[in-house]
Amino acid sequence: MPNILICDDEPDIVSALQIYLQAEGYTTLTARTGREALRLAADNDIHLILLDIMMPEMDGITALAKLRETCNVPVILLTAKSEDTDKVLGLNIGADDYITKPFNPVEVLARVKSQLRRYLTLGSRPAREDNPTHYAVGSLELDDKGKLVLLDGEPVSLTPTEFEILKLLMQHAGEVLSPRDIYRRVWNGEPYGAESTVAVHIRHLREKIEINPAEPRLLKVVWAQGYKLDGEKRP
Amino acid sequence: MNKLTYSLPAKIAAVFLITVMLLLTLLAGAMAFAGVAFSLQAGTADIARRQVTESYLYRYGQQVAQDFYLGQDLASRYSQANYMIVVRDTADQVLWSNYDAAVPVLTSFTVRQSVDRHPVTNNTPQGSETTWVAQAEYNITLYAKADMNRQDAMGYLVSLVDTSMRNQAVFIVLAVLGILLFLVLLVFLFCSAGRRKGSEGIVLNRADRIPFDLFTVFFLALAGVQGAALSRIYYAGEFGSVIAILLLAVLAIADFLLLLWYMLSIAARVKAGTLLRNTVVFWVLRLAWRVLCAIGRGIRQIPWVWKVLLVIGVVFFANLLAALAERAPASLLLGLLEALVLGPLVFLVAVNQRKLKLGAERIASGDLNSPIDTSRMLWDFKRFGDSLNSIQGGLSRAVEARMKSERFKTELITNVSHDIKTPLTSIINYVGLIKQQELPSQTVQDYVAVLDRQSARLKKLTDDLVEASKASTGNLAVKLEPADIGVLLAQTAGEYAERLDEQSLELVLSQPDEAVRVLADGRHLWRVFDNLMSNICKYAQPATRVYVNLETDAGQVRIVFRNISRSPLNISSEELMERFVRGDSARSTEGSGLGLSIARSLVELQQGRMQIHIDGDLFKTVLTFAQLRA
Repeated sequence: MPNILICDDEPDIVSALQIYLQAEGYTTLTARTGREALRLAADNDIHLILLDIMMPEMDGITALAKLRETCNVPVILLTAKSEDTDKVLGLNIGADDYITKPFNPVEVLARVKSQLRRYLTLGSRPAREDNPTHYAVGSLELDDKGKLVLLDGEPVSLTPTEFEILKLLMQHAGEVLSPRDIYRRVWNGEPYGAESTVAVHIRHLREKIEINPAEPRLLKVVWAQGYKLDGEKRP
Repeated sequence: MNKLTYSLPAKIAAVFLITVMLLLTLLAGAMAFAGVAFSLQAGTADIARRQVTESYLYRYGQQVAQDFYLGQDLASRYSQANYMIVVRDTADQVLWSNYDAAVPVLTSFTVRQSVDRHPVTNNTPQGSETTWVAQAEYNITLYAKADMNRQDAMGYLVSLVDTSMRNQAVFIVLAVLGILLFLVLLVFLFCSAGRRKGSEGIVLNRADRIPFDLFTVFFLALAGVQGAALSRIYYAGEFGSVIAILLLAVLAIADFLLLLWYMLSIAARVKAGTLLRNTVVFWVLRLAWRVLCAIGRGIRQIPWVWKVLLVIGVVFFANLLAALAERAPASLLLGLLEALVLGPLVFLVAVNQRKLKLGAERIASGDLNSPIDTSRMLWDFKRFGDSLNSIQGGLSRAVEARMKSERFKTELITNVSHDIKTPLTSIINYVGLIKQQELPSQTVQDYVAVLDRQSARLKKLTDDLVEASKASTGNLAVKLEPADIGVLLAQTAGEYAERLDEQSLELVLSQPDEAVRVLADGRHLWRVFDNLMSNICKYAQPATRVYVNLETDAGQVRIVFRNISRSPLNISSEELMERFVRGDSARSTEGSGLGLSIARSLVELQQGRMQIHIDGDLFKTVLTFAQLRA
């Protein structure tokens, strides 16, 4: 089973996380400081690191920067700092995801699983041949012919409308589409005040493909503008 | 009446009528005046008649004496006269008479008339010859008949006296009526001046647009010309002839019409408000005023120091001129000395004053970091500048302290919330672990549910606290971009569709067809809408309608949220927006009491306004932003 390194200066949090992760069958290692984490990561075969930011001796950001010099193991930041600037800093330094404290253990588990799938199973998958009926953005894959959507390799069940909306957003990944645009292309008609229908479907879609729908990482709401699917189109 | 004032035929008729009325009224007035004058002067008609008759008899007596002396045939000549004649010599011997005692006599008059030397032309078959006749003297008695014909002036006048006195009341009434009618017509004409059929308001014709003073001068000139012409006629002795009288009458009517035209033009101008405005004098005065204003502005725009220099220069130059004119070398020298000493001094004072003024203006505009350079100032100015600098320093320190304390407060709240979050994480995690355990009894399960709920609430509270603190101190990145409110409303409606359904609330959206944009930060604006809608879901009476209206009005965008409150709102709208204040005094429901406070701070950060109106159970929130034009 994958080895997970938990690094936090608060022993209660570490042991709680240990309990949750071990219940899922993961092997866990623990560290109390950034320095200790670096040493453990160097000595052991680690598949994922949960890293706190505010720690004595060496903080999480410094440890992450050092770690990234040698390996590309997935790192999820656990942080009490909820400012946007902190998140952006962490992601830029090399974190793969972040979770703000106080966190929901279920969300932590979901994110851990997602990162491990990407790292262990999907990362080495060979690129598919160019196929106009197949779209891939970030951790999402959509096969138009088979009417199939895969999130981190796992199938997601969508209604036909949700599927069409997702397809449209994947075709225009990175672009902001207004509810009116989406309505026109998916329903093939003028909305006449029915834009909120689009919003309702998007919300359902978000609940299906996001781990925490209140803080979407893929299907983002650009308030007062529209919606966009974050990420690069992959072949 | 109103319609008539717009009709051209009515106006022409009125002008014609008023002219006729004027003539008739003058006539009636003259008769009435005569009647009144006679009755005042003579008392009764009889006396008046007698007086008039006697004055004429005196004049006729002279003529009779002349005629008698010349041996004319008095009988045939005076057969139709209104008087009978008795001619006597100075010894009272009757020389000639046609007196008839049977004819009733009004009055008699005796005049002693002498006849001067007089040239007499006798027409003989051989030709005419003129001889001078000697003087004679007669006593002529004339008896005016009671019953007169109108062959001579006396008869006319007596009949006039009779008519005027007998019909005195009628003429007075006629004259008064005439005056009244005249006035009515005049008022009508004044009312109709400037009105034209088919157009509202006052229409000025071409003559009315001539500057009023020129117009007046034109009429005065006309009067002058007419006066000159009349005096010419008068001196030529042409008055009295029928043609002259006719001419005068026509002229009088023409004058009256011209005067009427002039007055009506004044009326139209007054109505249009151009009487004084549309004059050459006014134009000239206005031009002069503008020139003066421009000069004043120019002077004001000259920099202060230059102004002072200019004044000094002018004074010095005037002194110089005066000294030169007086040919006083001593005062010339004095003037030069004065200019050399006082000039630079005043210049220095002006420069110092300018520095102080600029410094004070900088402080007034909020620049607290650039003190006035007092190093090269003069005595009192230096002290004044130093005082200003210390005021600036005090202000700057106060502002800095204030900002520091705000920053400190936000930092404190952020740090405390970080410190709270770590233990909170443990609590949440272990509550989760407890939930996974086999719990011994339902009671324990209930307790764990309370812990779960309250820890979630504590999490929300800490988040809200940090946000409220940042929003109220402006310690928040605001990226203002064009935001489409219609899109945001649709998104909000989509996000809240399920939660509204849970409470059986029906959302009624109304917005204009075209896109409404404002300058705002979409995320912050969503947070505002989120807070308001979340409040609605929490506090609205279930199974009612919730109205969200988007309106634009005079460059303003108003977003109005309306809902019916579940519990009575005995709290003022201002209080509701305070931090930690909630409409439900029991504080039983979820929520931090920070939602409205955060929303208001965020709206204000985006240059908007948020107002809350409470009307019974109707809870209304109004957001106002400036509209962004496409």
